[in-house]
Amino acid sequence: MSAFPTTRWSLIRASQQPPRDAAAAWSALVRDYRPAIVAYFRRGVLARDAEDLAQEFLLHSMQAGWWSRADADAGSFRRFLLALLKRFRLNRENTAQQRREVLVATNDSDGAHTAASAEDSPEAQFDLQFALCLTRNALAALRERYARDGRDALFAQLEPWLADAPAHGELATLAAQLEIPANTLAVQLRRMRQRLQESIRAALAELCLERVQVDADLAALRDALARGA
Amino acid sequence: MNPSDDADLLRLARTVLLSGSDDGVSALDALDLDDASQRRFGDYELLQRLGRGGMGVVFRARQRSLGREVALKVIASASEDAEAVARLLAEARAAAQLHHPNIVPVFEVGFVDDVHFFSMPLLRGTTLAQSLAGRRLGEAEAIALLLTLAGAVAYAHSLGLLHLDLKPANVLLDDQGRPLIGDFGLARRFDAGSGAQAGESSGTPAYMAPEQIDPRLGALSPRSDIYALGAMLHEFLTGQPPHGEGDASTLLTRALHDTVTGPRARRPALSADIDAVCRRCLQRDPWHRYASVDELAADLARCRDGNEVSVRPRRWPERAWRSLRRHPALSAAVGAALLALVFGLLGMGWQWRRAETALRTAEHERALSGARADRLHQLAGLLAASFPAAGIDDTDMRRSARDAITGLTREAGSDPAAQRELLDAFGQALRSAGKGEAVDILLAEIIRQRGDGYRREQLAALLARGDRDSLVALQLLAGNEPDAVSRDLAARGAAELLRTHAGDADALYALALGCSLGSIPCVGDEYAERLVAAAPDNAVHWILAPRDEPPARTRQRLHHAAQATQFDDHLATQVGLLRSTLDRTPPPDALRQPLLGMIEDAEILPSLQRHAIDAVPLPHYASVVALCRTDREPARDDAALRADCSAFARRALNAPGASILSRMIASAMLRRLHKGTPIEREAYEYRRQYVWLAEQVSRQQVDPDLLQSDLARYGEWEAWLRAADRSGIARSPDAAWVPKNPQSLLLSEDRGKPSR
Repeated sequence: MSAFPTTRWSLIRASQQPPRDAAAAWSALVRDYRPAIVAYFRRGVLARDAEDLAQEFLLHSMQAGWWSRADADAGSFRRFLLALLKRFRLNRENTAQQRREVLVATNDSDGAHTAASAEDSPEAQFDLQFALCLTRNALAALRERYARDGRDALFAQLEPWLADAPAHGELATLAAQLEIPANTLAVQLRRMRQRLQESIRAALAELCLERVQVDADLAALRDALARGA
Repeated sequence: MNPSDDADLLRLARTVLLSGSDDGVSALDALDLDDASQRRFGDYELLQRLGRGGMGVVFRARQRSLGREVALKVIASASEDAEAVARLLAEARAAAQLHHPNIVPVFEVGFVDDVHFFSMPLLRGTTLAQSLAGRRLGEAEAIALLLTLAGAVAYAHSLGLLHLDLKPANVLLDDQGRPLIGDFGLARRFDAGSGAQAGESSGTPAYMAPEQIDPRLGALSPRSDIYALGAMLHEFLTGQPPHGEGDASTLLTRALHDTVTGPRARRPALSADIDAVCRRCLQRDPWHRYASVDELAADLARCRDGNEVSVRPRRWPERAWRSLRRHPALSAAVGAALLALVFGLLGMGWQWRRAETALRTAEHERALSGARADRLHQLAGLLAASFPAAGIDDTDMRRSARDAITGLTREAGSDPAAQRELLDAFGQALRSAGKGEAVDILLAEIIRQRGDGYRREQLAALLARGDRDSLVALQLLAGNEPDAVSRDLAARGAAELLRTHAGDADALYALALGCSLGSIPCVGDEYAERLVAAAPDNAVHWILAPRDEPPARTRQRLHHAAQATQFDDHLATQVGLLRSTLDRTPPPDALRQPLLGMIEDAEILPSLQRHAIDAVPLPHYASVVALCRTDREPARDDAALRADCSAFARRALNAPGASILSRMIASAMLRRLHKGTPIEREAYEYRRQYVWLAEQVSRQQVDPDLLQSDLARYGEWEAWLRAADRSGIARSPDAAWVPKNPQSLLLSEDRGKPSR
């Protein structure tokens, strides 16, 4: 039994899913993560065509139903997407080489990618953008949640401090404006940040089949964020 | 913040994702403790931020009503789940009820301004983790420390509370160096019958019991804390927790899948008893651990006092020797008492003299046997020192294993118990010499040399059962038995199989394979002919030829094989079949005793089954490989033949049903056939990947049972890739990687020349 029995990713992969539903779900998913796909192609030998390649990739993936190729190994959307991208890139590079559109041989280009610094590799750039997409989606979901509870004003006031701790005295000033104790406001901010963290993890869990895969993906994304510092 | 701005988003992602799970509490850092209004916290005044833990921020604070300084732990739970908060509070209150000299007391559990808190005494000492800092403790010191901690944990268990985050960092040392267990932040109530259900995975990866990581493995129970105590014991003894260093994900994967080696693997000087106690705590299956902390404490006390521990029964000479060493006065006294008894009861000179003579003889024999034991132990040590280290090619190790087992068992005589003693010493000497991998090969050799009778019994049992799977299994296993009895059993099984399952491809394959390898009696290619008639579209079926077949006939077969659209050498099916078919008859003592020198009793049957399956034969490709050599006739001048060779090998290179052997044969064929082309490159990469896996994924890391189970489900290649995943090893090497032995990447004809 999977730790996440019905995630967005497991639904796409479910064989009993009507093909049209799976296609729609896949399409929404890859469009959400398009920036990561473009970032991946930007680091290849065909970088100047990155946007076109991304578009071509998305189209092909939808027309050919690539999600149905996910085997038992594809425990996470991120990992599966990376494998598809790699195959697609090598394919395109081979074709381009045959047409003499690129000067370097494919084997050499592979070597060049490996020799490139780790943070500049297509995979690292993909992960970095993937982490940003995930954060963006989680932030939007959190904003919506606060709005639903009628606390959108509080969200707007605390949002700037999600990334950067308030400067000395700022928290106390805002607390005085809102006429609540500073401790209470600090707790509100802490909760908001924790909810964002939980929301990111939940968003990632939606793209995985197993908890251990969520941990592995999260570790990879953290690596990419740390390397890109 | 503008979330459409990538720079803002990047900063946010880093803040939220890189600072770990306790990040949610960092807003409390925003409190300005210089501001008197922000220092106020109910009855407490916050004085100094001391640090953060998994559950919150700890402050030094003054409790105004009592005028005392305390440590105030502010719980950072933002959970919306009222039930979770209620449970947390209930458990915090339970922790507050604990009054034990080795548990940090909780003064108060309360709630101020929407924030839950605990107050505790302010301990100014260090934590055990800081005190250890990678240092190893002496065995006696480690036992004493763990006994102290176990007492406190047993007390908490007796009140129905599991700690679930035991680790050196959660043990505080007071001014006198007294250890106190703290941080019951993850503690759960448990029920003696059903344990506690795991919720969200929580704990510290290096010390977490597998069932804390994956709730499917069982309910949380005292055995979960026993695992953590075992992990701490391992760290006290070796300086490292059992799964070594690594990121959280790697440690979790290792805890779930790796077989833990005891601390003695890292520190051979430790006693076998403490090693066994530690391993018992660290069993993956909770039911294989101690049932209670009291049981663990009892074994630790036995270990300390030099008595026999429950998890490692001693052999009698060791028992006697230890007893003599630990209690010389007592032994002398017992001896004197016995003499007095003899003297008093009998009271007659001749009887006394006879008793005295008997005693002297016994003493003499014991001295002789001691000298002999010493000599055999020396021999074991010498053999272990000269034993070859593991490499890609096991040939040297296998040869040495054969010589070592033959020599050692001859030295020990025909007594199985003596053989076991000696092999135990040899196994320990090998592990001490860092050659633990050899133990597996030695096991195979023991089974090979001493298991004839047992294997024949198994073959006879399979024949007697007579169902299809048993008869197929009989053919597969009989291939390794050259004796007349086994061949006769195989022939009878073959006749029965042919009579009842004449059109069954798996059955015919087992027969044709045995026939082609010469291991079962057959006439010409009788079985292979039936096989290709029943299932012509599998390339492997066409190449199961008798060994002495003329090349022209092999050429025809290869042509048919090249037309086939599938390649499946049946290994996965056969392994699956054998796993479900082999029965679990206990081995006779002549085999069991020597094996006990190497492995635990409970591992013997699974090990025998695995070794039987490992020996399942694969097709013999020599005639096809020879036919396809491009540096000689006929392939050199025959383009059609080369095309057939290529089609056959390309099908085998990455077919899911191709075993590693088949893939490597195909890789070598393609590298010869397509020099300088992308096909050669692809085939070479397969070879590199195989050598990489063989080098990186060591036998000690792999759970052999899981490997065979994966093999049956996904095929051999995929099973190894999964084993690599579980060990946190990349599936393929990076471009810069070079194997320890670069020659292993070369084609056989290029070995010995300078490598490319």
